[in-house]
Amino acid sequence: MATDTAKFSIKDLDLWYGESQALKKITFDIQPNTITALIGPSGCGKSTFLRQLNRMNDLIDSVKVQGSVLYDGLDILNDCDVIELRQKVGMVFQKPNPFPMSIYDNVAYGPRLHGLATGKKRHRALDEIVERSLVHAALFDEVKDRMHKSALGLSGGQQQRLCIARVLAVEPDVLLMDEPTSALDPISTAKIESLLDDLKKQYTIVIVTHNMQQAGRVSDATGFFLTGEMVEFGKTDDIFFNPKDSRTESYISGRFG
Amino acid sequence: MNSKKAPKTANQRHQRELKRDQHHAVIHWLVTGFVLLVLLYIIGYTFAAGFKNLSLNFFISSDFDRGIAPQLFNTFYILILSMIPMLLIGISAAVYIVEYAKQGTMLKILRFATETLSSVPSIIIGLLGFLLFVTNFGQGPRWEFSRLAGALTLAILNLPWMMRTAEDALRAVPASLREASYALGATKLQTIFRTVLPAAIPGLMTGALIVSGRVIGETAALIYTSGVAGSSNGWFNFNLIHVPGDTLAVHIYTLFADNPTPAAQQGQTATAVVLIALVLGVNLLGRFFERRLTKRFSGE
Repeated sequence: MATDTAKFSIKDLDLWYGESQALKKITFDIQPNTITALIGPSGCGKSTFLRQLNRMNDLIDSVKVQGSVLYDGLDILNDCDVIELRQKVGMVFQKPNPFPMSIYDNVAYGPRLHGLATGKKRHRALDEIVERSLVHAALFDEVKDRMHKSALGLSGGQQQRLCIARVLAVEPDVLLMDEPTSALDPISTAKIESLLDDLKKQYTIVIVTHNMQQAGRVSDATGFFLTGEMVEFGKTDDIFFNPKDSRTESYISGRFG
Repeated sequence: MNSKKAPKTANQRHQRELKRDQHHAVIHWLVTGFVLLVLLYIIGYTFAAGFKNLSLNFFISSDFDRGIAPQLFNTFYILILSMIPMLLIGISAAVYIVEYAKQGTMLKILRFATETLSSVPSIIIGLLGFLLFVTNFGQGPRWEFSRLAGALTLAILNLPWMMRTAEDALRAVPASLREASYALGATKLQTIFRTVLPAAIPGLMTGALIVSGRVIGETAALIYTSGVAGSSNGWFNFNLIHVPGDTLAVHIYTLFADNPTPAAQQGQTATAVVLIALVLGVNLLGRFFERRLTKRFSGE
């Protein structure tokens, strides 16, 4: 894995919440157009790590960070516009969190922020962005007749796909997903998983999951976190069938976590 | 001795806890019932005494003890005038407290200040309003007893309540919505104006209506600011700073204090009915918006 082609290149990343260290010397690369799964027991730091890739940890006052994270060669911990970064590196959360607005306004939220629909025909342009994003998130057919109804009337699975559409609408490059299916039923989960496979042609995806089968099914590479450390990182098949570290093997085989 | 003895079996203990549970339920029910009874008594007494004195003429006459047209007009005029600065300042302050302020000395000072302000007797705030707006501390151009002076005084008086209800409304907006907005690349200001405030509107409405109820019912703070004059001539004008004007609540006080004739007493009870109906209506409207708020976040 050569560093110069990597989408993200993380080196010696340390992170503290106040006095307690949540991430210790994390070092690995994330390749473009792949799905990288991060697994590990609760509180191991995988979500914290994910939130560092789009600097959501900035919202917490007590967080201190050290080390480097390069995104397309750009040092995002130091010289980078966090607004621009978050537009490029989108995030889908554990619990679907649509805005209490219409389906249309939810998807149009980002494009309106960033002025993506401009010119004389900007209403048409915005319509197109919204439709394209919903199609892309495999939701359009289910909502095309109720675009201006409240997004909160959708089912949990539909809401989560709406949240994915909302991220796609700002034309990101990377999708970060923090246990995106943990609040969903198996059918909705299956829909989102098959969507992920589709999305990776265009996007780089990093997904945090508690669900080992999910990591095995969808990801190309897997990283195993334990108490703030990246114990092992490699191709998903290698991690699952041929782990090098005994702790990875214990976790995969369900002996703890 | 016998009755105090500890029960022997788990089942007996369980029975005893169940009994205790029932007794407490009854006590709480009685206490709640008492509060309800007081409210019902006030409303019932007022309506029984005053409802028969109501007539169409009572609403449109501007005669001192025969009608309340000027007082109705002044009440709503002062209400609107005081709500404008109160909403602007109250919501802005709440946005600062909820979205910007960090836990620390500044926030503690702010809390102490608003809590103190909210416990200052309204007559004192009325005197402050008199100095500040009516006499202008004896310096420079002065206003008269006026409706703007009354409205601004009421704004000062109720500002802590407006801030508190606005703060509650903003805190009721789930943090996950703010996260969603930031994660899409919104700035803090964009997040506040496009996500937090729109989502908080029903809660802000509830707060504003509850505060409106307090504004409509306030008396002491107005006596020295918008005055007690039952202006029978030229009351229907929007002059802000040169025309005094009494509200419904002040009118009740004036009728009693100035001239307790039988006619005045009839006017007084009828005014009380109108005032209570107004406050009740405003509060019910507030509850209605509160329900809308809950629905909004549970997805109806």
